[in-house]
Amino acid sequence: MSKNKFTKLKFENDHLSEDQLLMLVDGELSAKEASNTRQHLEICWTCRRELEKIEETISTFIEFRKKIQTPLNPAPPNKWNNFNRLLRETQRELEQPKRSWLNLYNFSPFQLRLGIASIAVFLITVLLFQLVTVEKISAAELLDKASIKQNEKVNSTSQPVVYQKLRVRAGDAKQMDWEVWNDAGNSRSKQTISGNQPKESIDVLQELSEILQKNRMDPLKPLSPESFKSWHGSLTDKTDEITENEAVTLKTTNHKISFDGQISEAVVRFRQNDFHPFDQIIKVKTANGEKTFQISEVNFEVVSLNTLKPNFFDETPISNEIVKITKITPSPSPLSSASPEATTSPGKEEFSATSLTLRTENNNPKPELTTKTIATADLEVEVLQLLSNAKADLGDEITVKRENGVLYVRGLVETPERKNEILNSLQSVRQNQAVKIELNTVAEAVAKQKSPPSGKPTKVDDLETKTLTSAAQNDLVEHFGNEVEARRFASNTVNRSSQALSHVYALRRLAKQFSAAELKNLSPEAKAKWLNLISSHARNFAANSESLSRELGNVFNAPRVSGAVNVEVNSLDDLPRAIESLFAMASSNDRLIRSALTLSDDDGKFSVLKAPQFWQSLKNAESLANKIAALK
Amino acid sequence: MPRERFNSWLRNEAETEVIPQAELWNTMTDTISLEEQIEQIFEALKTPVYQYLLSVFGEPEEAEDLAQDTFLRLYRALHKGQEINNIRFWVFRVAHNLAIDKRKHQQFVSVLQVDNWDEVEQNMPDRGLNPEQIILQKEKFEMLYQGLKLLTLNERQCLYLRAEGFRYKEIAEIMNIGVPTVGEYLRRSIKKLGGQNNE
Repeated sequence: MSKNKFTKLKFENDHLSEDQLLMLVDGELSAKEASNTRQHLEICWTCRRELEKIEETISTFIEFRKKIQTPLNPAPPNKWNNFNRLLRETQRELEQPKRSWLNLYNFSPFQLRLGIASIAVFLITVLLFQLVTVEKISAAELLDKASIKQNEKVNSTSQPVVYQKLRVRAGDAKQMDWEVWNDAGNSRSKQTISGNQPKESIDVLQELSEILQKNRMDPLKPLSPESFKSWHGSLTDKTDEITENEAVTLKTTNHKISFDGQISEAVVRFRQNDFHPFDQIIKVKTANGEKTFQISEVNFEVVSLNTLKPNFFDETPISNEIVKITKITPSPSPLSSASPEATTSPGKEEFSATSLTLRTENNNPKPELTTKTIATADLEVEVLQLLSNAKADLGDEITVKRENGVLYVRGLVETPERKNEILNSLQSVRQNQAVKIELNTVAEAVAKQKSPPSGKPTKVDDLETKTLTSAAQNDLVEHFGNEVEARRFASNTVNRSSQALSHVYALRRLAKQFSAAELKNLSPEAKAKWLNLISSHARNFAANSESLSRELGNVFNAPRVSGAVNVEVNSLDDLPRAIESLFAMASSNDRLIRSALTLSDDDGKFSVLKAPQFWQSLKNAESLANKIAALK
Repeated sequence: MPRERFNSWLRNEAETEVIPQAELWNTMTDTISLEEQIEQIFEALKTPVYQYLLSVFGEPEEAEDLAQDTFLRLYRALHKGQEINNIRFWVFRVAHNLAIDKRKHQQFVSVLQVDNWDEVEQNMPDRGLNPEQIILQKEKFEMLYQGLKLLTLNERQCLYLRAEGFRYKEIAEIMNIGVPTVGEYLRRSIKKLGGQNNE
């Protein structure tokens, strides 16, 4: 926070800003700023109250963290048992070269003479080498630094989208330009290519993406420190060479070639000033000899998502093909039986298990798409449908996500019975190698329909036994004639509102489950199933919302209103926006209902239930949900 | 690149004296080996690092692995003769970066490992409180819990690093963001935790 900003705020407004107050509490103001702030606090009650609020919140958070969060967090699963072993291993690794040279008595005189001669040659070489260069950092350090610098650049933009324009030259093929936009925050990307021969360009790009994928590089970030680091880290026998002139160049040679399409050497060049990689050459061993790819950066920018058109990522000229490419499995090679991965026990690690299965099943030297062990979007819909059948999709607790070709179903369930119930519902996909189910039993609820995210019904139940009153209690008691009925009504209504909201949460998750490109690629059956799920949650929400309007309306004499929403839902493209609008309305309505019917220190909140806008908003949400439900 | 330049980059602005490191450096005497020193640092810092990784990034097993990896890296760095002035800061920064690299595609992280208010409520300590105080405590914790759910990953990182006692400048360096951005994330976090999510 700059001094200028501080001064400006202080004198333009009569009160201190939240920034200033928080920085005062945190001791982040300069002595002069702190003194000015304290002087103001002495005379201003309003600001003092604000300061107290901030301090109260901090104190509650610290208390929560200490008394609840930390005790509830599980202990480390392996109880740190591996650390001492790992430390000893590292120690051995670090000290090994020293010991071998110090044990001179183990060598024969001839070996010693030979050794001394070798040392002399080595020292001379080193001295000569040092004349032309300086001490180098390691490849890992260089890559780490480049990665940190890049992250720094990316994180300085809100909702960053990384744009890279790359020029690719592959062997004798003509060069082409490849543009990639990566929106990491939403896990989506867009790519375009341009070249004189589009067909040839697509082929080259497909081949390159396969190679990158096979070598653990990132096909969506082909020229990035992370991608290079990932490959570099996967090599078991390598040499690095770093030179520094106008650029910092890292050349890594892979000495262990074990499959067709493996990278034997890669050279990446970084800018001196910010360690940004701008050029990369990879040499690949293929059945027909060696092939070279050069990827040079033409442009790199980090832009904010807000500056792009809203449907920018939906217009995906070639991304579908590329997405498929990333699912291609490693092809077998004559050397594959010698690969260490071939001895990996199945099930030990999902990625190597997948590779192993495919390698043994697929004898075709040309890589091909597989649907047997790679999770598809259709399979994802199938699993979502099965979970929905078990009503396990009404909460945050179960997530379904595809990662590296594996579909993960993860979640926490309340009881062993519930876990079995969900596992039974997933019976038809449990044997599928592409599905990995990680359900854990803990003593907590999972199903959102029983325990919505707000947890508010519990609070209302508590209130039934306590003497505290809600804002609406007097009116409710007047209507129902006694307190018990009034509280039961309040509790039921808040429950229903939460239930309604849980369907909107489910809608949101469904909408975010697939990108527009993935949706377009779904089979007709899968798409119908997915739409059916959307429709079912929208209908359930509408029904709950209708009941809320009716039941609350009876008590509070609701004005007659009909739904009037401007949001149109005519196609799949309209769906995300419609669901977000519905979410905004539903969560706002739920908040209003809860604030009026549960414990509150502000009677004014109750009056919202009497405002025409509230009834209009309830009807609008219902009407929009019906529109969503009607989408075919 | 000369080693000195790289080291100076590592040290960059890390010389703040806010977190006293005396208890760590007291162990750094010549009388014990580097491995023993690492073991002592590990004992002193493993729990805060694990809790931070768990609270911010999610999975226990991964948090444990990353924490261990961090201390092994510390060992390698010190073994190589790297100068580290503020061990605690270095450890958190490395742990944070390892977690970011590892989980860059992960979107959803639970607020708590027990992500359900009923369960939280059952575990709420109420010793020495009268019924009214218990209700008030529940109210206040629930509001905070709901606020925690609304935090973005960046806000959550800032908040938990601040709770670990790091200054804005250190948090900015750990997260690779600007100091004013740290202030802004913390302001938003406090607002959300205080139940005022109007932004």
